[in-house]
Amino acid sequence: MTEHVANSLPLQKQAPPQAESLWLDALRRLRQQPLSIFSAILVCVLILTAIFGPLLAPYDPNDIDMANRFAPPSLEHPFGTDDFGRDILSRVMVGARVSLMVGIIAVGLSATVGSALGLLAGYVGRLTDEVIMRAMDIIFAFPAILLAIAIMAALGRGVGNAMIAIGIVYIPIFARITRGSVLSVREEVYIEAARSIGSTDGRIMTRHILPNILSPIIVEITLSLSFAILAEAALSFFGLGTQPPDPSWGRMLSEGRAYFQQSVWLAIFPGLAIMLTVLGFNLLGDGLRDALDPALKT
Amino acid sequence: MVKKYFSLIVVALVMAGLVGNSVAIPAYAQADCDSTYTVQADDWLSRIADRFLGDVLAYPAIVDATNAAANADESFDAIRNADVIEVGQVLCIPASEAAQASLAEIGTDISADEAQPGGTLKVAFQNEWAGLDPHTVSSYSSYQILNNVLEGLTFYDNNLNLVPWLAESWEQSEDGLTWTFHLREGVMFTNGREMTAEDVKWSFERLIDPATGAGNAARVGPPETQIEVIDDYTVAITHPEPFGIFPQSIGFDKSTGIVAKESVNEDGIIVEPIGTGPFQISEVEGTTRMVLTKNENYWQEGLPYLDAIEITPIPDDTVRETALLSGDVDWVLSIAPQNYESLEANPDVVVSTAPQLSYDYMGINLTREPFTDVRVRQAIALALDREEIAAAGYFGLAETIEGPTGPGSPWYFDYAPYGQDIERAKELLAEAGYPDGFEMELLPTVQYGETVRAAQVIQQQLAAIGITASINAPEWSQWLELEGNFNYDAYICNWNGLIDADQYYYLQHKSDQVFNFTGYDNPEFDELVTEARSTSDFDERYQIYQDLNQILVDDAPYIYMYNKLEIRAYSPQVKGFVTRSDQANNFWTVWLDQSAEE
Amino acid sequence: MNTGYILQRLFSTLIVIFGITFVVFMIIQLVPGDPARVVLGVAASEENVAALRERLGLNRPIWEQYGSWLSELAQGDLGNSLVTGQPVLEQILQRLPATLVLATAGLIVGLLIGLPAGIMSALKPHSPLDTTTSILSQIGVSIPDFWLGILLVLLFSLTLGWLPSQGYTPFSQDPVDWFRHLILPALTVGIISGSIQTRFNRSAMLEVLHQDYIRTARAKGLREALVVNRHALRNALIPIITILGLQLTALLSAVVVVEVVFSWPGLGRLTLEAVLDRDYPLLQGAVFTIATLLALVNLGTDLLYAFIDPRIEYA
Repeated sequence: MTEHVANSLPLQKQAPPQAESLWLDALRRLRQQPLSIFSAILVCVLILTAIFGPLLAPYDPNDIDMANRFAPPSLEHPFGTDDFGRDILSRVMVGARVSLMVGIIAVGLSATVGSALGLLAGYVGRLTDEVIMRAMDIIFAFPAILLAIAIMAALGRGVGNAMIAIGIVYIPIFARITRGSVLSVREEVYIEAARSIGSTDGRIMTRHILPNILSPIIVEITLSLSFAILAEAALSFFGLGTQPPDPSWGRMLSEGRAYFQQSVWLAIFPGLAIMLTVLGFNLLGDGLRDALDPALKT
Repeated sequence: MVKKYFSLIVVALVMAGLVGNSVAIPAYAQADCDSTYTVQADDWLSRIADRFLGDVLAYPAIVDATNAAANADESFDAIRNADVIEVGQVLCIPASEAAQASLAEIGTDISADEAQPGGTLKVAFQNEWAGLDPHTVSSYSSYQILNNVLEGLTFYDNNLNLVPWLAESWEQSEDGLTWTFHLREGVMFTNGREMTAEDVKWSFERLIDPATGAGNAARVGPPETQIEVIDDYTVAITHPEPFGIFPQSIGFDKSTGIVAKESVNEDGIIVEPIGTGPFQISEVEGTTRMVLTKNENYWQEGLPYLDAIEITPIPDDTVRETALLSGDVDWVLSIAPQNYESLEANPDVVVSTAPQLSYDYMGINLTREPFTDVRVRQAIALALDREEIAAAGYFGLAETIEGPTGPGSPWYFDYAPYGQDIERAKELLAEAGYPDGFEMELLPTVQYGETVRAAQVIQQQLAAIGITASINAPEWSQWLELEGNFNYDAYICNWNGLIDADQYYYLQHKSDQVFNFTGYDNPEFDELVTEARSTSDFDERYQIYQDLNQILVDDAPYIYMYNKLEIRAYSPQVKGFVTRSDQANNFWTVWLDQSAEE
Repeated sequence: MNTGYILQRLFSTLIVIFGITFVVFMIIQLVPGDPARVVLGVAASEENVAALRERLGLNRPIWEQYGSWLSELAQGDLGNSLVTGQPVLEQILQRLPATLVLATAGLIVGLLIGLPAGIMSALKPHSPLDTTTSILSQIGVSIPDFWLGILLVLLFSLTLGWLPSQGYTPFSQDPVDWFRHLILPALTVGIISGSIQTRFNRSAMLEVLHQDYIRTARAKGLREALVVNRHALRNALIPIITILGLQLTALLSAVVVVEVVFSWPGLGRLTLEAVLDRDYPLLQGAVFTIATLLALVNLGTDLLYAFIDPRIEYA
């Protein structure tokens, strides 16, 4: 085996660098982009809010104060109060937890399962590919939100079921993207080289193919996080999300919508929270994408 | 005769439409009372007008005079809504001449002659209709359409008086078992065939046939009810037990409307019913758009005014209101209560209200611990601050109630033992063996947003007496299933379109009725409520229902919360529409004022 | 591209459609509730419900029900709606044009936004144009679709009074009115779709522009326009078309929500109504139709894909 190493050396130049240095380089380049730093800060703030929100919130998010309903933003209530006189800032802070949790767990589910299936399908090919991708096509044939609603109708409502429903719906996207990328690199010289030096399929998939197709997956993860958070909002919009009175941005938005014409802040702040969260993940993802792209090197 | 009678109604409608329900209170007018009158239970303005001024149509004069008086004198309360006067309210009755002058002033530009025929009215309903077979649907949104397509033998006019309609008269037999109806002659179905007693027989028999599975079959009677054709224009209905309020019972909604049997298709289903009504269904696009066109053979001459009505359901409040404001539709079935004020202030929109014949309530599961104990139910009833619930649920556009009927109903009884009393509620809970409270689930439904909002306030109020409540708010179909199978602790919902007292007590609370979803079973109540059903005399019935009301409120299977206002909004061009307490939308007297355009 | 490949894709699409019938049927079996109860309403007696269950064949084993649904489906019979009693197929055909119109219009708006914006920002990465485009597209991706719809209504219908806020006029009835009603829903769908496309198109273009052959082409001294047109664009088309295919399901998701917001009488709204009403036959029929349509579109995408890049073959 050693004698082949020398032969393969020139080829390795074309191959991507090892994963560790790839990520270190990426981090270095990420630091050079102000937008990425901004987004990283945004995401950190959001995660911290999700963890510590209930402790930091100025009011009990479910405390009803009918005498003080529809209060516009003020020093006392920076985001105003809602139709029950509840403090919107507190509700947005506590709601961060639900939205982020649904998003992260749902996307975690679809990314893990989807990428694994896509990798397998793209690399192994033939019957495996056929079976996996046809199964994916079947799921993919349903518009996401409708399939999620149908799954929720079958499983029952609730945050946990929302995660599962949203997670299932986005599996095929990861499978397709991963498979597509695998197909495009499968015939590349460095893979053939790795194969020729007798690397196992498992090693080739994880060490050679995966790092090279990570960037589309990462772009997809960030996009899917936004889809998942938006899907949760849509499920709430249709009345299938969390149960009242517990706040989730989606439900706050769909409830606040009813008062949009008079008390615009009810729908503005949860809407902004959703947008900023999604924006944070997207910018971070974009930054990562550029940073991770091996072709940008040198 | 018929024509004259009807033109009177038209004038009344037009006036009521104009006076509307938000009455301007002129600050400059002077109080000029000929006499005063204190409102009694069972009074309404046009009846008082008839008594004092000899004209049912003179009520705006009383409104004007009372409002003027209220300005000058604190002992009067202004009438802000001509459909709402309260028992005990003092009215200022103007002198007859003053009334005439005042009416002339209000009425200068209105007369039935002015109604302009023609045009298409574009209306937005809220929910999609769920089928149009009057015998199998139970959805009110379907009946709100069928009101303009089908007609019954009897009819409730805009003051909710029972009046002859397809039947000109009726009488009850000596033994009380048989009702005989004499039909109006020359009434044509929209397919050109004359409606006869055979059609009444066919319609009623299809409704009560158990194979049809009609939820409203009891309106006509049990399946054993005999319907006999005497001649073309006479039909006799014989019940196994006396049915004293049969003429009322068949006047409520269009499940008891007369349908031509040609409506049934080869599958035995009615997709588009053929009736005798002012309009016929001419186009149905699934549940997204429907066009009703004028019945050219309509028996009430000159009516309807409109050529066509185009109906679109718009479930979303914001979208529906936007459609009205931007002129895409002329009329909307409902607006969100929170937008009431801003729309009312908008000169391009007419907002009209009437107290609903409805109530919002909490239904308690009497088959489950700890709710089997009446003290627990009473404790819950005492824990509630109904003003706050009404404010959250319906933005205060509601009267709080502690019994089924609101102050606007002729069947209102002044029995209200459940003012908020936290201490008493805690005592009752302790007596029942729950000094530390318990956990329970509230079951509102997203179908009615106000129930979900009310639930959140109730949740907080129950916490004050130690009850920890959670909320489950499913969509309608699932909610119905949970409720129907007694799979709940306490649900929150409403009853709608109830006119007669019977409808407030019988179907929901008699132990053997399908709509009894609480498991309430009180033999004394059952006996009384059955007795009330077989009685025709108003005063006698009033006494019985007063007792029934007290038994029911004390037993508290339902905990009553509030009585909502029915709200309609339309463009100022739409004339002759009356918002009715029973939520029916009758479009045959509506016309479009084209002069306002351009 | 060979006929073998086409046949194989056709065959597997048939399998997908068969799978769709299975998934649709099973999900609906899992939905708790009784269709007979839905038809008769809460007030009906147990006996009546039991009789109807028998008549609707709900007491038969599941596989038997599935089989009979399939065989009726093959004959073009989707059963009757439990709620309206109308044939499901009739209701679906009635709604289909509205959905197709909205989806197509949304896609066109999306393409008009996504193609130029994506390609131009990839050509000048990190330029002010790229940054602006990227921020705008990210905002577009981040806005909840129904919220965007309501915002557009507030602006264009309520405040400016330019466009109708909701509803649908059939083209045959009044083409101008039809178009006016289409603008806001199509914009809502299109802005979201266009933002997603912009991001992907930029990625795809960047990827291609960094390939060796582009560098070679540039090194050969080819004019930039030629490099972009002849080499980069053609190669970027593959991922762009994949994205378009992927995009269609996301697009239809937005269409469902937007149909509700704008009272657009399409299939999406019909499906949601069927879910909420538990109108099982209608739900089955509508979801099946939408999914099948998408499967056919995916077939088209794959064929196009192979046509553009002949290197990709089917083993």
